[in-house]
Amino acid sequence: MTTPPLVEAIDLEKEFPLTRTAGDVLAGRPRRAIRAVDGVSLSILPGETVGLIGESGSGKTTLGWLIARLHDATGGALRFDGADLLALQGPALRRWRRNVQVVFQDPVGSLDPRLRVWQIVGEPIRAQGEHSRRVVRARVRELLPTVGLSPDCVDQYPHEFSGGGRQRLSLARALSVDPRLIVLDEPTSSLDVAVQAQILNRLVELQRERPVAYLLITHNVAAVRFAADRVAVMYLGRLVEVGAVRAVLETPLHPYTKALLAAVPVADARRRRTRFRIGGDVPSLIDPPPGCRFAPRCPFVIDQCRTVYPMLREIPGAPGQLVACHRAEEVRNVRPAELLSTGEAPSATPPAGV
Amino acid sequence: MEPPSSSGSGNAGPPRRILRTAFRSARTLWGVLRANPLTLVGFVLVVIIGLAALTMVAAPHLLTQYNPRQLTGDYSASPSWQHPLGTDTGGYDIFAETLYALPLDLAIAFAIAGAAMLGGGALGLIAGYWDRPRSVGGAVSVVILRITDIFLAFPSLILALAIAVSLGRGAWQLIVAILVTWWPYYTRLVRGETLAVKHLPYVTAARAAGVTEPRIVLRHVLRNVLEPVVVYFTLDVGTVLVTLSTIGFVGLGLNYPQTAEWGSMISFYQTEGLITAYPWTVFGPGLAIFVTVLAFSLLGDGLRDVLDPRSRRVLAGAGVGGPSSTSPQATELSAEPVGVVPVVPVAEPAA
Amino acid sequence: MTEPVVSIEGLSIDYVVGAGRFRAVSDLSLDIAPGQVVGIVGETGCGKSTLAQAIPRLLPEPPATIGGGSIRFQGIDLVKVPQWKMPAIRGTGINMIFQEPLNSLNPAYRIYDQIAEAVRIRQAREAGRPVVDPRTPPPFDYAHGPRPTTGESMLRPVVPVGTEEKVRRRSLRRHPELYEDVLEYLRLVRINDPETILNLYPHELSGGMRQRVMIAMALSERPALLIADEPTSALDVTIQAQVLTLMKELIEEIRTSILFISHDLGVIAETADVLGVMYAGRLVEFGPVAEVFESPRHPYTKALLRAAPTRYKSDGPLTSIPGSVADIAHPPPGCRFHPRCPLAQSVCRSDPAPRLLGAPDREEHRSACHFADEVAKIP
Repeated sequence: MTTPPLVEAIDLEKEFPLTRTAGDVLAGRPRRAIRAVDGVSLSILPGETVGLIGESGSGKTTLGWLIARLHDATGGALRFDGADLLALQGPALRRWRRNVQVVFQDPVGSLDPRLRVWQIVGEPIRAQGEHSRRVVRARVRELLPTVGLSPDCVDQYPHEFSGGGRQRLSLARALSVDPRLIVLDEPTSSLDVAVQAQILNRLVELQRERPVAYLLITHNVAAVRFAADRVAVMYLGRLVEVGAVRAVLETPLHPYTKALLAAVPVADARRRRTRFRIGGDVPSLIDPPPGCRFAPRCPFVIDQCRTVYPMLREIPGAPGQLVACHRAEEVRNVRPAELLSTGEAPSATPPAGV
Repeated sequence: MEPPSSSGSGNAGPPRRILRTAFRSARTLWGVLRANPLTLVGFVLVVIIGLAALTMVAAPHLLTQYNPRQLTGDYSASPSWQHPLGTDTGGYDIFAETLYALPLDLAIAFAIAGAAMLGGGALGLIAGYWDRPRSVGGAVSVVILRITDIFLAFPSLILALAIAVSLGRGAWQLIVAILVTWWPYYTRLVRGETLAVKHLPYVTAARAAGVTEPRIVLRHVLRNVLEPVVVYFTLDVGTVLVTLSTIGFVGLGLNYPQTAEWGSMISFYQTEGLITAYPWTVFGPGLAIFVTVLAFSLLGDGLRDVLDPRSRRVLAGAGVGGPSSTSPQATELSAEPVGVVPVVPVAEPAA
Repeated sequence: MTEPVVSIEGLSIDYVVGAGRFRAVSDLSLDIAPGQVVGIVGETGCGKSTLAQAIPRLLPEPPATIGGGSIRFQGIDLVKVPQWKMPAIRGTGINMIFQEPLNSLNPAYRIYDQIAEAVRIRQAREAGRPVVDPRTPPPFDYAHGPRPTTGESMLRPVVPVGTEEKVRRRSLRRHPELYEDVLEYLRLVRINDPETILNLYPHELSGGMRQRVMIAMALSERPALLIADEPTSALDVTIQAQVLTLMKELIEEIRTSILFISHDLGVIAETADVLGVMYAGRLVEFGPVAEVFESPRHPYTKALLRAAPTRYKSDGPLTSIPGSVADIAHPPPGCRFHPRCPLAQSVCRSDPAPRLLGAPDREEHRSACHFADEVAKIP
């Protein structure tokens, strides 16, 4: 028996139109847009952690914000607990917000520097109808130890905390209304390794204590490995691979996933001789090419990749894992390490006589 | 200074909370003043000027024995004990006249700067916060901004003079004349600050928490915009004062000796043509303008430090970077689980 | 044993803030041999960036002062050199690349102008008074000729969308004689078709390209020592891998010494020959990178290596280091790590702090811990 998903995104799209200059209007050029999220279908089950991996420009943050209704989708459908989320407006939307909270990337900018801890962490409680100052303070005092902070810091200001402390405050704020889903946008990117470990441990523990699901958006593969149950890989606005975390990270099917895993630096001195063989930069989200988005950089590209877009599908032998690649069956056994070469690399001629 | 709504423990009623906040602000203020001697000078001067103004309105004879425009019997006397700044050809004691002009000048300056801040600021807030592409708010913003640009294109003093000429002499006419040219600066300032704050994550976080838009504007946007605006306002009082004195000096605005106002006093003495003979006549109002503007400028600079909670930390004497050493590191519970080390070899991700 | 390029002895750097004075770097000693890549790793606030900027005396001297020690570079003690003489040493002697190239590339000048300036300065210096001993062989070894690129997908040219239309030749009117040299340096950092980016401004390039331009500029001056302060931390993972690959290849070709600062142990593992670990302003471990990773001799290093998450949720919680990083303004007495150390004893709490000492059989692998030999026993 399958549990109904908590969040269901179906072909979700988000487009940011570019302003047209007068020159564009006169020249008759068509309206262009950045298609940040271009047809993403993803579901999140209650109480699970879905990791969303991608690099800058992949649209993962936009997808997270769409699910939290901080952006309005320009296409597709979004359901929460079976009900249509996109139709909610006004006061009903505000009341719904207690179900999904967000922990933002920037620990400094996400806390109002002029407010005290209890006001910041208690803001969602107040917004959802509890106006008694006493009650809010009491709840904040209860909440702080669950994120690893002393309850006595309710009157302090955010600048008195370290980066890790601020992330804990953001987390406490998100937890204050007992949401069913927390969207965490790069929660560890500005933290030291030891603090990252503490925060990740805390996240996992909290999930054992209460029924909350996480959407963990990050480029940090190791964080996803530890904290996530399932992982989705995004590239240029689309999902390229989805599956259980162990399956995707140990036997990645999509060439981009393999490249990503190969690129992650590992604290192993034997890696000194390796060379990363995938070139090119991430192209822009404006006017993406037809066909597979990764084709310009893919080492396994064939003609079909450039013209026909591969849909997310299962391949035989890898149940439960979805991949968007025409050649998934053929390249499935290529291990990420093979995208690193240990041979000699070419060198250009240095300037002569200079 | 902190508004009363952000105070300490929740059980006290509003009055006690306000007192507590006031006490805390006062202590911070004292810390700033001690750290920065110039600010202390400015603050003291402003306090003195303010008290003097109040005294002149309520009980003028505490500061000077003369009534306004009182004939003292000494004509064109140079400064002495009885007439600290001398007398003019009409027999008025200049020190007394200067003091009588103080409340009026201060009130007009505050009125202009205050109205400009409120009116111009409101426009700036609208133009900043509701400026979204392809929306009504965006169109309104464009209109507001272009009008602001038009007004800013004129040199403010010239425009004020032109309006003053057409309106004639008088206090209200003076206020209107300057106000018309003054509000755009606040609009620009507030709009800029609003734009900066509007996109910060904590505003989005408030929206994500379900806070209603008006409350977001009041609680997050305005409070963070307020600080630079108040600093600018304090410095602006000095600038307005100079402007209105200038208008008085060229013979517009208020009329001395009917109404005492520093600029028109200087103009009056100057038109007498006797400055070379009796130079002390202009010292009074001139010095008064100088000291007042200086006081507000120094105070404005110092206020910047008081209002920003972050710089309070610097004053607390903490080290460079990181949280203040006065806040206990033990805010982070040390009972973090260190974890059990696995005996199982770790899976290499890429291999 | 060749003369080290840089030899730092007992260096201490203080910051004077208001009434207080605190020590950002305490009593640090290390040597960088010619052609060696020395990695410095540590968490935020450990002083590694301070150290990196102190060597070429780039720290703003009023708040920062050198509180003691010496930095010997090619026979000169840099601590004693007055600021006005330092520009002669920077560039061709010691050069630096930073984390965010947007901050270190001048946004008002096109790429061509910036690289050309660097080349021009070096040429002028070589024609004038050379700081580098002319008898020393140049850091480049041009013995091998060009090799063909292998594989079509290797390092394709990257040009932002739409720039082809924008290429103009206007700025090349300045210093046209340096055109060929600039192109060669850009090819050296694996930018194919470098002509297309010459006319662009820094903000029009992607992060990876900017970092390559920075590396090109730094290397065009052929420094004896290149200091890289978190050069890849601001880049995406795949771009970081490309830039690290580039740096590794250049290290092999060019053989300049590099001081590589990073908070990421993986990045250090890939690039460094020897590794120094810093904590709260002190160097706590120093040695060949393979040895330090496989058998660390300091509890902090061991804790750092274990804290990197490499396991799944089902394997149990991540190991972390209890407590938080020592406050550098009020450091604990004695060994600064002792409040968080599993091996701490009373001797660790008392001054003086443990000195950096080698193991009896491995002099090169040094550790500042009274119980360095027992670190291996920590689970």
